[in-house]
Amino acid sequence: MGILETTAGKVLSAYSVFLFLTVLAQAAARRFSTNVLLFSLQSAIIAIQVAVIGYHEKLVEAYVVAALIVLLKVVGIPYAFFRLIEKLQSPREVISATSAAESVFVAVGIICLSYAAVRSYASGVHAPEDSLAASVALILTGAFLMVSRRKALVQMIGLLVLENGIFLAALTTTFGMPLIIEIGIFFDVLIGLLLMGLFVFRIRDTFDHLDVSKLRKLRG
Amino acid sequence: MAVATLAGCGASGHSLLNSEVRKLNPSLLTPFPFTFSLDPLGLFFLILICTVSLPVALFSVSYVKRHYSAARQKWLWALLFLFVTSMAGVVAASSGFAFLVCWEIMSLASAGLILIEGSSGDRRHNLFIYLLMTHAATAAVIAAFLVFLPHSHSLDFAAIRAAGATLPPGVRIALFLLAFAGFGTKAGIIPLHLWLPRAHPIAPSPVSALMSGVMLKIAVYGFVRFAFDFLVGGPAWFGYLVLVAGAVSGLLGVLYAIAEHDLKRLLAYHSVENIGIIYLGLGASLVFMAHGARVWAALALAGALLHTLNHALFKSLLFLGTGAIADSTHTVDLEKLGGLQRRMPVTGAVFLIGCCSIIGLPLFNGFISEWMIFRSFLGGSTLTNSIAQTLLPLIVGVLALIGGLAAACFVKVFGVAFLGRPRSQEAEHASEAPLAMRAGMMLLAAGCMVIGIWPGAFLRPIVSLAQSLVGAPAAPPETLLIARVIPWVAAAFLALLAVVSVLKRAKRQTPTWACGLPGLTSRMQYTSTSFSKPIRFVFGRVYKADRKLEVLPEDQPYFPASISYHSVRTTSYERFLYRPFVDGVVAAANQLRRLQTGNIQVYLLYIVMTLVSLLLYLRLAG
Repeated sequence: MGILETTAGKVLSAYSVFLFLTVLAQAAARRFSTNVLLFSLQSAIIAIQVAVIGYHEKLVEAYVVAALIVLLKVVGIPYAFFRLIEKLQSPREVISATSAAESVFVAVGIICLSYAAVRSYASGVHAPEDSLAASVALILTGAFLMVSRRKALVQMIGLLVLENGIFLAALTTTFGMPLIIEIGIFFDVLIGLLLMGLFVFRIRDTFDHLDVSKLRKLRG
Repeated sequence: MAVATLAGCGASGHSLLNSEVRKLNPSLLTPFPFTFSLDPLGLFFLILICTVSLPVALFSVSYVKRHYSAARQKWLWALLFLFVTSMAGVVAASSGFAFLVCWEIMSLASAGLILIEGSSGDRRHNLFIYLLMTHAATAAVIAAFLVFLPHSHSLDFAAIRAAGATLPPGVRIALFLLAFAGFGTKAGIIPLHLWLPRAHPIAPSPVSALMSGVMLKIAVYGFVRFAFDFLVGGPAWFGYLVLVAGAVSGLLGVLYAIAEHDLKRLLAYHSVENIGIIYLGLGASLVFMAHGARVWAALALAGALLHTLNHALFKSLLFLGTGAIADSTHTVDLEKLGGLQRRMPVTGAVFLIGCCSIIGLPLFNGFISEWMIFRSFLGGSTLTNSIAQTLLPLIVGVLALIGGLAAACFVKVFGVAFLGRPRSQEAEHASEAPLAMRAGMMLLAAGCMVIGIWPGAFLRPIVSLAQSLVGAPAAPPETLLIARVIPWVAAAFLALLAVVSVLKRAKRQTPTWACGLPGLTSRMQYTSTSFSKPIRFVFGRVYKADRKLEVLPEDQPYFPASISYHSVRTTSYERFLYRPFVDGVVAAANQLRRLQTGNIQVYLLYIVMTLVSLLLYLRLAG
């Protein structure tokens, strides 16, 4: 393992702690806007990580990617969400199947599981363990948000968190993918978000609410 | 089609004589080994397919024209061709993949042919049962091939055969049971026969002839291929299992047949019975093999194979005869037929030949094969194993009972349908079938007669085939004996006939005595139901009939205005065997339905749970 990789690994590990904090906070968050802000913060942390890796690896592309993350995930998507909240005028509280305390416990459990799961794998690929665990924790937390929250909007946030986790996993294991693939992934997220936004509007127009648990009436 | 079948006949006959193996290998086009080649066993069945398909095609030429619109005719011919070709493909296949593909096409093509006749709700229900059971059978067959795969590393028959000798006993048993259940369902052994009396009557008559005459034999082929060629026998209880299945199918099949008066259903039940006889032969052969009596095993197997060919001939003949009757009277209900012999003499004559063959009268083909199976059972007394020594000869009694009941049944069929007076307007105005139909039936009847009178030519290849399958050192002497004796018996019989006809006295024609009543009516005759009454009475427990007697008006029991009597045979298999099974499946499906909540979060939860458990597994395993 070279000196640069080690340094980059240290940075990734250090910032992973912040990611765990956002995970716990998101699990506890009661308001939708808090959730969006936390997502923005999370994305900012990842952007910093990308930039640091770019600095160490002397990759100009990484700066482009970091800029894209800032543009899209730190500013663009949260802004779009706030616009969406205004337009939909749905109640701001997150309706959850689990209470805030329970959610935090689940998030803690997820973090433990992530560390447990990546332990054997991390040493094999010379990837920083903390960062890999953080990525797994992000994926699982995103999925957990999608499972436990009733509102379609929070489920979108869950998907974005999940995507952040996948991005981080790719970053930690490969130290940056080619630019073209990164851009492709961004487009993917954007298009997915657009579609989901459309569906959210359709759900509201059809059912006058955003509670997806009522969708079960569609079952044949 | 006729040309193609002829070509197939010629090709197979040619290669049988030269005993060379032709190979076809289109595997280059497919991801799996998809190969065809003909060995003697496949050839025998290919000849069976061709010899039956050709007359049936001939029969169909005029039958189809008279019954279906031009568009349906095209469909029927196309499907019929596909059906026959796929059956030929099954017997010619030399890899599991080719076998299964052709097998599946065969099942689907026959279902398509049934649909051509019409698609009312009732028919669709019966067809559904057929498709369901045939696919359950296919699933078992696929499973059997897959069980072979870890041991043979290839679905090629040569590899499977090589692996067959070295299988562990547990795998052997699993394989045998899978093949037994899979092919048994397709062959229609009781209690897996449920689809058979439902599917055959609703198909067009030529198709019934092919389904009953040939398709069931493909299942027999599959079973012989697995049990004899791949597994080369096994422990004795394999044989006893097959014997019991054969005995039960044979006996119950013929008993159910007697109670039927729908001619097609009756013949369908007789197919169950004859498959039972074939399985008796196969079972005896397996038992003999297990006890090392390979010459006897060859005799039993040769009897079973010959009976397969014979049944293909006379059963398709009888179904075609039924088709001819339906063609001219528009009914196959025995209670509405009668007096057809005078109106359809040729059909009557060939139908009589079919009847004599199926009940195994000497000088007809059924006799030869049934005699061989009989003889092999009697040979069981030479074994040293005490169970086999006592059990096998006892089965002769079962066979004899089957034969006797079959005779009663066909006396009923022929007597009620062809003799006496017509029981309906339609039967009264029946007329002889057209030339092509008669020709098709006559070809099959000729086949029955030739095998019955000159069995030597047919026995030699079949016996050598059976010998090679069971590894017998010599041909059983009994076959030589019967091949030598039968032509002389035939000659003696002909001579006797000639003498009798020369010495015959002049005919004395008088009106039939009607017990003093003025004139005879068709209502005085035995009906199909009344003829079979004594047998149904004796075997009452088998039928579990629901009887209902209605006397109207109810207050005058001695001077009623009308009496009606219904006797409905309940199918206890459905009630006691299939119904609980179906209910269980439906209940399980309802339980599974709970997984399908329609709630997005629950689906997401499934995904998360899978992820988490996989991660946990990774942790624990690593």
